[in-house]
Amino acid sequence: MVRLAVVSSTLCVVTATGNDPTSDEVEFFESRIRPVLHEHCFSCHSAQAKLVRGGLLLDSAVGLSNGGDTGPAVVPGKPNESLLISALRHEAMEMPPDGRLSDAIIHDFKRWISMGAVDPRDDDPASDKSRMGRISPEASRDHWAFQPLTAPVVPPNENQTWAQNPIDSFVWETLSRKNWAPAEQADKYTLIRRATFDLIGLPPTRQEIESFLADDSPTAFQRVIERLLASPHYGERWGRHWLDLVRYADTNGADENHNMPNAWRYRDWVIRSLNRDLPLTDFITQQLAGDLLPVPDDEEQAGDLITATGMLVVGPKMLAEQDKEKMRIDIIDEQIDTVSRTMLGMTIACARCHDHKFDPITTEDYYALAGIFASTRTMENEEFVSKWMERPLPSSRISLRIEQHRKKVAKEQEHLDQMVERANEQLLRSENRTDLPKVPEKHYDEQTKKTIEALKASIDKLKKATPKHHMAMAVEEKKATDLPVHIRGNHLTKTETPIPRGVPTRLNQVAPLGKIAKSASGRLELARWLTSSSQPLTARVMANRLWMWHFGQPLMRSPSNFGLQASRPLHKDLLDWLAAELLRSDGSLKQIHRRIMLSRTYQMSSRCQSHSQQDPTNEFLWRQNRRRLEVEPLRDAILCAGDAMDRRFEGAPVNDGTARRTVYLSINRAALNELFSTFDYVEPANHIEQRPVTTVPGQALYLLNSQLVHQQAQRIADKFIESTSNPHDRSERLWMHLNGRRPSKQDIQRMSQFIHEAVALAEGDARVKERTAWASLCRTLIAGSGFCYVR
Amino acid sequence: MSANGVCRARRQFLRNTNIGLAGLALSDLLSREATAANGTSAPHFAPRAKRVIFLFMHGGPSHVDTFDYKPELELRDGMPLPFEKPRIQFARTGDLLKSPWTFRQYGQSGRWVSDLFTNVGQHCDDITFIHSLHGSNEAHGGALLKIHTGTDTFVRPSMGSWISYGLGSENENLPSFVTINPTLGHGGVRNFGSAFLPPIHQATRIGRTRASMKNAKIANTDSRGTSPELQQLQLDLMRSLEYQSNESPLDRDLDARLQSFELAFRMQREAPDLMDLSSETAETLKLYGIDDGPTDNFGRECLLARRMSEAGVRFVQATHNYWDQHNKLKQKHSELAAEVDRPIAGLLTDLKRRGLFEDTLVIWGAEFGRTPTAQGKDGRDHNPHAFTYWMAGGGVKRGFRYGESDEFGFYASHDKVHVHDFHATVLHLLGIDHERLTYRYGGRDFRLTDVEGRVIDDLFA
Repeated sequence: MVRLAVVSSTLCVVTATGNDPTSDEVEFFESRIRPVLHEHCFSCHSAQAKLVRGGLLLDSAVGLSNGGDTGPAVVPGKPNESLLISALRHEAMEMPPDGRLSDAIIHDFKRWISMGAVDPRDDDPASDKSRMGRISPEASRDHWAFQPLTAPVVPPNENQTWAQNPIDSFVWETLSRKNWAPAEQADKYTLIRRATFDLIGLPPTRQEIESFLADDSPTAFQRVIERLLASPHYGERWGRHWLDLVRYADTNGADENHNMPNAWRYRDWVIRSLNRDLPLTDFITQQLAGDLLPVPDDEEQAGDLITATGMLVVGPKMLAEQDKEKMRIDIIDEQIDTVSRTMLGMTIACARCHDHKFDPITTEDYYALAGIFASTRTMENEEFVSKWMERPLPSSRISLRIEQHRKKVAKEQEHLDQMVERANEQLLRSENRTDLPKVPEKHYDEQTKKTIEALKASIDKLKKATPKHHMAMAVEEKKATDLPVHIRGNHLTKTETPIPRGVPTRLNQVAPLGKIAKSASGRLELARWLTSSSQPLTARVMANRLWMWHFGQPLMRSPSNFGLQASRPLHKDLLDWLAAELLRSDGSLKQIHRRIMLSRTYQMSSRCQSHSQQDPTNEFLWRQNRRRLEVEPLRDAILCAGDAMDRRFEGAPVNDGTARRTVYLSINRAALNELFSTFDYVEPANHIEQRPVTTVPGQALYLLNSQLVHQQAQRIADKFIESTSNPHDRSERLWMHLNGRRPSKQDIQRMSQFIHEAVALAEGDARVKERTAWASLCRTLIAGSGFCYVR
Repeated sequence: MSANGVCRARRQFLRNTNIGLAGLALSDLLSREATAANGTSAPHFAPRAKRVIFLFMHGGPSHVDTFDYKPELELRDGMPLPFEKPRIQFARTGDLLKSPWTFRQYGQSGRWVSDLFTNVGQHCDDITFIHSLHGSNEAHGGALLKIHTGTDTFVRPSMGSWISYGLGSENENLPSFVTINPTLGHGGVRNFGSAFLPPIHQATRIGRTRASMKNAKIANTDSRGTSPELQQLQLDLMRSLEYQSNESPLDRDLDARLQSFELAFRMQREAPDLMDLSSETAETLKLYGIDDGPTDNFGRECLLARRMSEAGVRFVQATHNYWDQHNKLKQKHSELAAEVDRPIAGLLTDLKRRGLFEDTLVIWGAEFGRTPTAQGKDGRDHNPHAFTYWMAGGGVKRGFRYGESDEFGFYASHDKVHVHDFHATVLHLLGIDHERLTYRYGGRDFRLTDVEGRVIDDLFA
């Protein structure tokens, strides 16, 4: 719209200067100009170009007079003011880029423009190809994911006893279309191991397994789930899932890998909030606009609202970028990308440079959203190497201490002042002067000098020891600004009209955004809109993710892209039911865990092979999926197995050498721990919609040779050697310890044979041989799929 | 030790080698996303080079003091730059500063090279110089990311990862992309990371900034005292347990996983040999300047790069730093050049005599060049507007120069080569059409060159 306005104004100018061209003028264009345009320009500047460069079309009179991103190409009659000439001369820009045309040709162009730039071509390309893809209004209107969320009717459970809850009814109905039967229920060993890794990211203990086995009541599994949901380890597991989405890390990465020493406060906020089952609405609102909510009386709660906005700040930034305007818009872009993919499942950042190719998101939409973040302060300063915002967390206790400390400093200062005064008086008296010398200190006696210097030093020290408030990475409001469209994403070429802050037009039709006050950034309105029950994307996207983290695969296979490219999923009704259920239960994630885990669908065995030929990816949900442990539960499980886990909660990040849970390890974007990158946690500078599962030799090398595995394996081996001298019992217990189930007879037999051969291969005395053999058995079992996978 | 056990293990190993592993491409081991790697039909046309050695001079050596001779700069020493400086500058610079080094002409081609690179100068007739490289970012981090990933704005895979993704490895026992002593600042892993490409295409890192190469290792290839026989026994046990506790035949993922252990086992045997330079002759070591003071460490990097290339690693990057002379230009550039000149010349000689030069593309360059104007009295600022890259070997012209910077070397002025063009050209030399090497992520196809890139075919032999 904006651009059209500009276009028509230039059109008017051209028309006004145009008289009927003479035949000579036409002839000149046809013989000297048109062939050159055709030969040297059309590959980038015509409707036929694969990609129209700079928004400039030279294959029509209209295109030529409209010009491109940087304005009209030609000012008729004024060759020296015409961008085209400057470009041909390789001045303002260099066209054609692969070599300057001859002076003779450039001279022709000058002459042609001097003559009025007559262009007799009457072809009108009409299609505005420089505006990239056009989204059909019908497709956009009818797109399933944009439709309001209404709880679908649960299919009736006629003639079947399998379904336990609505999830099962939906699954059963889909399966029955294929005439397929669901897999049988998984055994109890599998169930408790699956549930425990799923909810708290740790293996079940032997006692937990035994008591579940012993519990015959129909609510046995429910009790397991409740116990796990109440565990503070729950937040560590599910918080980590969320941290993937919001590209959490402890260092900046990007160009200058500065430490972000307070990022962890946001990480811990996420963990605590999930443990408290903070409703999804609040969870999201606080991260976008916690600082704009009413300030609670409780200090800790007030601080949490500030800390939560760290989500917007922990992204990577080009801190040393000297073009600070570029840095600013890059940061905004990064925020838009994270928020839109995480919350909305839309790739809005695509529209920074051009209208979205596949989705109804225009560049105007993008800059409307960008205005909200441009009106938000993310950076504390924009110095040579810029610094992100940190805000103090309220604490009357610390405030009081600071106050007390200041008084102490003031008192000492007073003391010093008095001492100086006395010394000066003494000086006047002893030297019999009426006024003080320029630098009186120089004239003091040695003793006084020393005392004063010592006092000064101690005051400096005291000042430095002033207590400090805890700081959290956080945002605050800044002067509200609307941004104009940056043409082709270039901050140096902007349109003239600012776009009012808001959300994409098509999505605003789905659910209207609340009015943004003139002085407000609009973050709070954006948060309210994102979490409004009439805006269906956030709930659908989150329900889909919750499913993914329980099944390894989401119902809608591109979990962060619900745009037009995402075709209606097979389990659309199930997804909608789940999303509606999330809203019905006031955004309680724990309620959704219960719903999912108490379904028969969740409890199916993963071993079934009946339809693996027809449906290898288990799209129809005829079984559970076998899943490989991600790096966090894998490392944690190894530490647990060696009984070495340090279970302390929260706090500043620690290094790999410690036995803390993996969620607390420092995430260094520029020097990422190789354990992470080896096991598919590769890029902590980007939103991760789903961890990839790859099989590479580096993983095997880690499991075979790493210090962690060697250390823990030896600890486990020593413990089991100690606990029983009977090799049969020992291998049985060891298997149970590592795999959470009983070994088969053959398993035990194979292990005994291994020990026998390994002892024979080992060197040293009998005890050393035994320790070596059992440790290598432990390593083998840790490397095995029984340990590294959840069945 | 039970002789029986060893024999059985060895038999088993041979069986695995013959049956389990013959014809097993690394790409077969990848599950899910990774299978997409097979979907690219690269090479798209006959490659001129099969592998790349990228000698990366972190910090930004001065092109006007090394390979881009500017007589005009000498004449106008101390005078102001007669045209405008860029809109954005990293630091303030003053007037023109002539090079403290003498330039001489080398070879039949008569290329001018400064006395910082007298050894590389000897190879001038086999080198193509590009004097018109230009990027846009004035800061190290942004410029490193741009040269490695094509963007200083977004998180994208690095050039080596794209090449690994496009072509895979020539040796299934080794990674396809290795980076030696990279910086972990200025973008760090992102400069050799795979971003959204399957993680197998990320570089295997050896060392970090200026780490001693003497005891360099690939992570976890040391078995911590576990004998190969015992490890073979472990693998046998693993295999039989997997078969026992899962369905037979084993499904694709678990089978691939088992095979990856066998591959790891072989990598672990191959890697230490590869890293061990003791099998090289004294003459070769000398050629690279190994065990000879300043040239020792980078000499080892270069020799290791050659050994890896020879063994089939597709893309090896060897980094040297820190060429960031805002001051002490004369002293530090002399020291740094003395560390790399002989090793690089040695590498070129060695590649030639081993017949590897024809299909190995050697690239020399940095994240940017430096300003012809002075920072202080003896320094130069960052300059992304013009810098020199050179290439040698696999498919490029010999004794050739392409593009020009202005008479002082501030801006690329003629036949300009943008970083995207450089990427497109390198891919082309490897038989890859940069417009067709794509990967679908987050709803669209991505390329190393985004929507840019022009293949500079004038460089091709």
